Amino acid sequence: MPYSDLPPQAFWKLCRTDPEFLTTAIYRPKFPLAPGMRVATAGSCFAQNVGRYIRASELDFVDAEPAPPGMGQDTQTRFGYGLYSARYGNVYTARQLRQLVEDAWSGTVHDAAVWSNGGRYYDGLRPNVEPGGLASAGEVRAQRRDHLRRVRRMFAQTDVFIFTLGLTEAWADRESGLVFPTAPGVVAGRFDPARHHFVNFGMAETFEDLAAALAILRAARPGLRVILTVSPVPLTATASGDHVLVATTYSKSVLRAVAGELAALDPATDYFPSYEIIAGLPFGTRHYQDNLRNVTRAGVDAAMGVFFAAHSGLRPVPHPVPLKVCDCAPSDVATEEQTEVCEEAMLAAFDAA
Amino acid sequence: MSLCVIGNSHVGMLRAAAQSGWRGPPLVYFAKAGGGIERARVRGSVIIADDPDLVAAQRRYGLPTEIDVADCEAVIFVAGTASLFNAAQVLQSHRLSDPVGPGGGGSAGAELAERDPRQLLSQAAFVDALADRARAGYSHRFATALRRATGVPMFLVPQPFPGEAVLDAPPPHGPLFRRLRASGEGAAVVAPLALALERAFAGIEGLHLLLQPEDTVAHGFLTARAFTRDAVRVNGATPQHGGDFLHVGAVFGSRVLDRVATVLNG
Repeated sequence: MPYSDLPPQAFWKLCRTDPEFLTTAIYRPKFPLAPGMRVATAGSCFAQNVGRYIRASELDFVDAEPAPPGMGQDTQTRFGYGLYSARYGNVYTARQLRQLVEDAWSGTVHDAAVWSNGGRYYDGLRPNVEPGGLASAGEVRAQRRDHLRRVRRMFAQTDVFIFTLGLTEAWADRESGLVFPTAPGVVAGRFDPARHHFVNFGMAETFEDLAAALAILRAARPGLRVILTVSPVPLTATASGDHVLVATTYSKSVLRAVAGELAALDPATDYFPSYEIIAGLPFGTRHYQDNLRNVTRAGVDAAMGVFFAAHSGLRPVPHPVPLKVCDCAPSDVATEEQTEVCEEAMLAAFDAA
Repeated sequence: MSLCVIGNSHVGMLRAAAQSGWRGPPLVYFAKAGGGIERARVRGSVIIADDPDLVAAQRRYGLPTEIDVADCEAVIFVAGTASLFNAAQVLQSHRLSDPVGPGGGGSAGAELAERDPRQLLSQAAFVDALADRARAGYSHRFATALRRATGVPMFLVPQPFPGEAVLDAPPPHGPLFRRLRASGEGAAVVAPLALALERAFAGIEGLHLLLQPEDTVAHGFLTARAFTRDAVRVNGATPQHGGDFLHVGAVFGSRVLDRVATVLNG
């Protein structure tokens, strides 16, 4: 019988007998991680948690754009330092990753991504990394060129790239086809309906974008290993016209399926089920805060605990320092507020209330 | 009533000034050269030396091991905040991207910029990084803590810019500062540094920031030789060694005390 030799975790009923739903067996890495391996991260805001754990581990977190000496943690976070392996901000969609990689390899700086507001200029492809903007369009271009050079260098020294897929929805520039991490006007820039339009990527596009990005990276770095994850954070808002729950289900389904398919096709690409560990039905809402959107620290701990436990060559990682550091008392720091930098969450400001 | 001076070896300039004909209120010092002052403790309006090295340093000069600053006419914090050295340190790994600045991408030229391995940094990030440095120093910590207990006027005297002699210093300082002069980056960091200090101390009511006067500056970012020639150690009497490029002396210190007096009398 085909099912007779399967392990307990293959059966829902047997998983149900375990309070943790046998998550100890939910992740079997395709390739082992060992101390000193150079790991780079990118993705949606949930990926910032992954980066914190990697930093705290025996792995070597690649930081291609370190903060200047003396800059405090809060300031680093505000300027996008240390959140990921370079200052690209949140890379929510596979198309954004593809754009980033293509631009890094071609050295392309897009005029359509230079936004202005009140005399200040922003990089529309990462509007959050300079919260007050820059002095001129020329400075934005210079910063972007420098950034792209460092992104390319980052991948050249990376052994393992962990990418967390977050969304399928994005806003794009009609003429150039560029997609942005957030709608123009939310963080910076101005929304122009004649110029900007909504896109919701499907399976084929998402697969193609991710595969194209990885192909460029592999051509430059043949031994690069990739770990894909899907953010368990629901959409803050959808512009698809659907109910936000329907839109979230669609988005996460596409991303989960693409990640799974790519991992199935490529021996050097793995899938880590952080989505299942946090959002999975057996766990109800236990890993979410009261808004049913932000993941609790315990939820992040649960997912990353599984990750490091599965890599037997690595020591477990104690809970790393949260991103947000303030002068308040320790008891205040321990609140379950959102600690990630997330442009997408800013869409909540546009709700009907 | 006295003026309470809290700081490191740079306190020497005020001691030297006080010993050279200062006619204002007497000065009382809470100071230690070479690190250690940051280990002082604040309880209410009292600053206390309970670290053995700090206690020893105070006693060596017959100074009190605790001072209630509420009994003073004013407190003068010396150094212990962001300095030009901190700015120079940032510029070793980073380069300002603002094209309007002398050290920016525009004036440096695109080609030169392409060859420069340093990471680009915005003015805003630079200022905030220096402001973080300033907040992390003992002056900010002591001023914040003491302000909770007393409304005594406060002054901050940032560490003077390095002396011109730094240009002749052996590596690493000499080559670094010569490069900063040649590129214009040294002069370009003075304004962001001042802004960072203003920003860091803005929340402390009644604190007067005494930025380095322009007429004491050479090459746009160094202290002119006229003010370092008489550089002294923390006791205000012993001259600094010949290779010193950090300290100033009584001439500079007198300028500081005059500005303090002007504010207090104004």
